[in-house]
Amino acid sequence: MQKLNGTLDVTSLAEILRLCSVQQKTGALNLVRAGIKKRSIFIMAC
Amino acid sequence: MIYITSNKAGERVGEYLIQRGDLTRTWAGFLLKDSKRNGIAFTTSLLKKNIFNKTKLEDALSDLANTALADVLSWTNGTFEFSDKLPQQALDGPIRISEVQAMQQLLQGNDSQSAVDKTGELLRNIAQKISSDNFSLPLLPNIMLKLEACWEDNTVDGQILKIVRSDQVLSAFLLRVVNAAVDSKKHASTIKQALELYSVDHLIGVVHAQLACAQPPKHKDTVSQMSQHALRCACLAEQIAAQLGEDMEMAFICGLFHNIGKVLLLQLLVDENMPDEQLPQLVTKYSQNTGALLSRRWNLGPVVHDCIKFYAQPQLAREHQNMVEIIYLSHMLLLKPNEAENAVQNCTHVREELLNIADLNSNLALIDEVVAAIY
Repeated sequence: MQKLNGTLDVTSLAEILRLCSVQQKTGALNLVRAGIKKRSIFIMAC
Repeated sequence: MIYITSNKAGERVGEYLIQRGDLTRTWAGFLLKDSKRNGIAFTTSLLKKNIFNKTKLEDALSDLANTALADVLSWTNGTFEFSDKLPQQALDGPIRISEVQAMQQLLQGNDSQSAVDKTGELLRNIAQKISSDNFSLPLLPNIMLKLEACWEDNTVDGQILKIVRSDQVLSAFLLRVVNAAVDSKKHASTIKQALELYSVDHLIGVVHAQLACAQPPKHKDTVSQMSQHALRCACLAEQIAAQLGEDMEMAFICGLFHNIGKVLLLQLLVDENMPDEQLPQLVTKYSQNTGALLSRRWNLGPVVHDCIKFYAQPQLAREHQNMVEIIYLSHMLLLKPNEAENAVQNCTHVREELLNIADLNSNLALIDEVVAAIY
């Protein structure tokens, strides 16, 4: 993934997770919508 | 994936445990103060006071995390940001959550019974296949033959893309490749938008790749009927959008995809060796959630997602209501042409005064000709 941020209308979470899985990424994904913060999905070679 | 935290009402740990009946509100308040006073995590406080044993707490937190993930999987707007900094406590934490389990929740929707009967296992298998992309949408033999004929005759590329635009499976596959987050600056919800982002040669290459791994449908006649209805719905939705001054191309693609969950679910259920007599009920019950999940998995765009999920019950849509109602109207006019007035009355967002139902009905024969030329 070239950029590590964006909007969910362009890139769905399912697609982000797929790419993280392919790239064996480790880190935290912060998701925000209308004041709701799913603060972190921790991914380790998800 | 390890864990997800949320500030959404009902998804905070204390609130969730109260909802489940595992904790009283008084105890939750006390433990919250206790954890703050002692500088320890709320969950640690739960264990120290012997409110929970570790296994029970892990199960509860795992359920909570999967619920929070299922919710966010269906978000069609908002922002995301990835950071490679990982808090140590996340690595030390006991909880592991599963994308498959969250997807299963999305498939089930409000059907709590399926969680306890054998349908639960079936939906889990289907979620597993969608999560791991271990499925194929079937391509009808006559579409395959038409495309092959185009290639043999060196037909102009426009004719090939015209066939692609008319077939829900080919359109979905093309948009799935175009919208892969390899380049997340680009997104196309329609074939027309895809043509603005990529060259015709590029898109034809994608179609070629699809044909190389295409599988026929297990229930050819049923899938053919579904595909024909999809194209009829797309054409009619395009005309309704024209009357209303809405995006015609978007209406077409939403109409084309509205029942894609049925095609996918039918294929997956047959793969699961489900008896034929059980197929109609299961397809009817879970196809919209399946299609909506596919649209998120393949990044097909928020409007498409909402139309698939809510076209049968447009009053449930919270966004893109105009387009959802257009697809609802199109679907209903095809299904129950004599109840057109009722269908219009169920719509609260489209401008009724702009609709000309008589014109739409008179165009149905023309639409049938278009469909007959493709299928």
